Amino acid sequence: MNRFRNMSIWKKVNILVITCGVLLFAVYLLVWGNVNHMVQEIDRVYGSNVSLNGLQSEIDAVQTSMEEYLNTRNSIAMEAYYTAVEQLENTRQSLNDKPINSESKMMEKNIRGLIDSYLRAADVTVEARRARNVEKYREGYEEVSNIYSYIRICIYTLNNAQFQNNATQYNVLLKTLHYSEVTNVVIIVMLILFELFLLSYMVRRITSPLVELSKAANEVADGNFDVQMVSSGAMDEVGIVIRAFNKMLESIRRYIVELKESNELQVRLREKEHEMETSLKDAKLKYLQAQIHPHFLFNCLNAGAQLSMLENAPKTYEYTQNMAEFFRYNLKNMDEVTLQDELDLIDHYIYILNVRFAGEIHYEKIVDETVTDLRMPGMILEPIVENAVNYGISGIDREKKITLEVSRLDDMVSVSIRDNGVGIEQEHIDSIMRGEGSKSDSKSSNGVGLVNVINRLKLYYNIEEIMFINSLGHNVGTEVMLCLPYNGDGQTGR
Amino acid sequence: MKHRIVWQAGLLLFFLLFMGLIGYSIVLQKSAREQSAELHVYSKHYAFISDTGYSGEMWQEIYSGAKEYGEENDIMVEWFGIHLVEDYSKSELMKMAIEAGVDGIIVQGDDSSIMNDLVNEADRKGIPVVTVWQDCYGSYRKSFVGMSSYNLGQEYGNYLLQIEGNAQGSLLVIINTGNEDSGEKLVYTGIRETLTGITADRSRVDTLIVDGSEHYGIEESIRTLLLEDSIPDIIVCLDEQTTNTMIRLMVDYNKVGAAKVVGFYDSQEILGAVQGELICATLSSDCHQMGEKCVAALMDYETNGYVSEYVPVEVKIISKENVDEYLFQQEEESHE
Repeated sequence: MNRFRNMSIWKKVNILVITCGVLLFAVYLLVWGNVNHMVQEIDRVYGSNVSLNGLQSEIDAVQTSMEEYLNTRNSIAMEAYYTAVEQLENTRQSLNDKPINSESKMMEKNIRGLIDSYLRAADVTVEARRARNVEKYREGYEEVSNIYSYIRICIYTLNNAQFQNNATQYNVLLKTLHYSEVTNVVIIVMLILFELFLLSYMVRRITSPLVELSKAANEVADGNFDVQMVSSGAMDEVGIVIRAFNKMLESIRRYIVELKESNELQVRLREKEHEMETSLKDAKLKYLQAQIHPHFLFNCLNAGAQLSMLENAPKTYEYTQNMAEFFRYNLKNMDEVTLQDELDLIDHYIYILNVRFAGEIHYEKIVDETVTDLRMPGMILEPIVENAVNYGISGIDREKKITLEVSRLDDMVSVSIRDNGVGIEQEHIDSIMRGEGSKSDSKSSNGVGLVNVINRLKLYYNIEEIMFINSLGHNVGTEVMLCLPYNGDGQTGR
Repeated sequence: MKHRIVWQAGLLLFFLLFMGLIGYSIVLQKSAREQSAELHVYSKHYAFISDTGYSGEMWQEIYSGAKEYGEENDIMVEWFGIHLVEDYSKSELMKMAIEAGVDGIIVQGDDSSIMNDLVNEADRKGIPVVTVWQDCYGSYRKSFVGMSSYNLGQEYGNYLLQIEGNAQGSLLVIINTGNEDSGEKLVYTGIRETLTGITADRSRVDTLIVDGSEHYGIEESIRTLLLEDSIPDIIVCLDEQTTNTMIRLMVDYNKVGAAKVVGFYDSQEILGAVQGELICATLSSDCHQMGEKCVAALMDYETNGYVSEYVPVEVKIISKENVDEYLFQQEEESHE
């Protein structure tokens, strides 16, 4: 049975079809054989009567020809007689000559014996006639006639008895033929049903794993990868597909596990990275903000301011105060300050610069006061202004101008710092935007460069496009614009 | 799994039903063919011939004995002519059996010359003949099996003396001439000589001749007898046919007990009549044994070349005293 199960579907189907065909053929042969045999039996039924009639005819022929010869004594009659005798002798051979426990067989034996006596007597009679022994052939003829009458009555009796038997037999055979026909039809119908049953069973055996497979496949398609594996012990095509499916399912599960692990790893890595970034961010912020040593300087400047006050030097006092305010700003928590704080710092810074540069720098401030409560990282605007001073307007002969404009644009606050300096080449702008401006940054007095500002802004807001640098050309000036997210209540939009 | 078991069980059941049906079909075919009994080929063929004018139970019993004994000894005993569509006389059947070339003949003998000639012809053709019930005196028959008619008459006479006692009433013996020379006359002779021999006063034993070969011949005669004013004291019937007719008419005409009747043969009807005291006794012989002895005689002759001329069969007298025993015996045999 295992061998059959492991055969290919093609072979299984072939075997099934051949088996069904052979069965059908065998049953057909049986049915045909039965019917044929029955018909032959029916045909044979009256055969015995026919043969007895033939026997009677032959005896009649002998008697007739003998009588003819006895009457005419011609050679034609004699020839006819011997011909009839020969025929009768041949036929006689087929009769039973043994005592058998059958009425008809015993009758046959008696007939055969009587025929023997008849032929002997007939020969004697004919011989006597030939020898012209009238007395003898007359006696002989009487004896022959007696025996002839005995034979006739025996044949008639036997014929009659056999006819009755045969009639009964015929009826039985006819009835049996009818039953046989019904039985044969039932057999064929049963065979067809049996073969249908067998075919259904075998097809079901072949297809049920496919049904299970399709169910499992649907489950998998619906996302249930924990579906039970389809069982198939057969090594046929369906078994191969099922094993392949199971293998695929196993692979998918394994892949999912690996994917999960990988994702988890990635998440962990990302978390770590994020943590590192955050730490870096934090560190950078702190580092950047720690570039300046605020306390000592602030204290010194405060002392200077007090000294100038004592010496009644108001300009010195104001200058020192601005310086102190400028450096005190660094003592603040630079993680987050308000826009106003930044603007104030710019004011201090410009004042300080104007003291240094005898008021060369014209600073214009256009501020929408409604948004100055925006929270942002510290030390953002000052480095931009510083950059504008150092690289934009420091080398120009014309009037040096810096314009700072703060306005609200929907959910953004635009902070624009424009100068009318030499401008920046696009290539440089690009490198700054890419974060490659570290060498230039080192020139700044407080060490926090534009790149630093961009990085901190990106880290803080998590937006790539937060700062834009425009320079329309040489000596046309530069504009640095910040687009800071603002949701209206002072909170950043980050 | 369950589903598979159900399917397999269904397939198996279907298969068994299917094979059963095929088996039935084959059996049906076989049963339709001629139920030829198991045919057996015997070594010898004997012909059994009796008067076909009356083939009563007695002859059937004799034939049955011969047939059974023959089967035990691989010999086929055929009741010759019984199935022929025409009736033939005993002599014609004898002739037919001789011409058919049987191996032996058992024939109811008689004193006719025709029968004598036929027995001799059979002997000439090498067919041994045994006569039964009645002999063919002077023929070349090999043996005679039966009761001597005269001896039978003596047995009758002795029994009649027994039932008569000292009284000597009228006595009538019915002789059936329908049985061709059946020896009843000899029986009568035996009766008469037995009675007259012992009782000197008994000078007359009347006879009534009846012809059983004619339809209602016996009945007419017996009816006339019973309707007479004086019925004989004792009536003796010498064959089965006469005895049966007597019993029937006695009942019909309410003449039971009008005479003491002594019959012949031990058929169930006659034994019943003895038991019912319709008749006082019946004489018989073991017919079955008679048939056996006929076949045995032929076999002895074929084996040894000779056999006893006379094989006697015992005569039994069945009366009220012992009739139950015979009835029981018959019942047992019929159940077998």
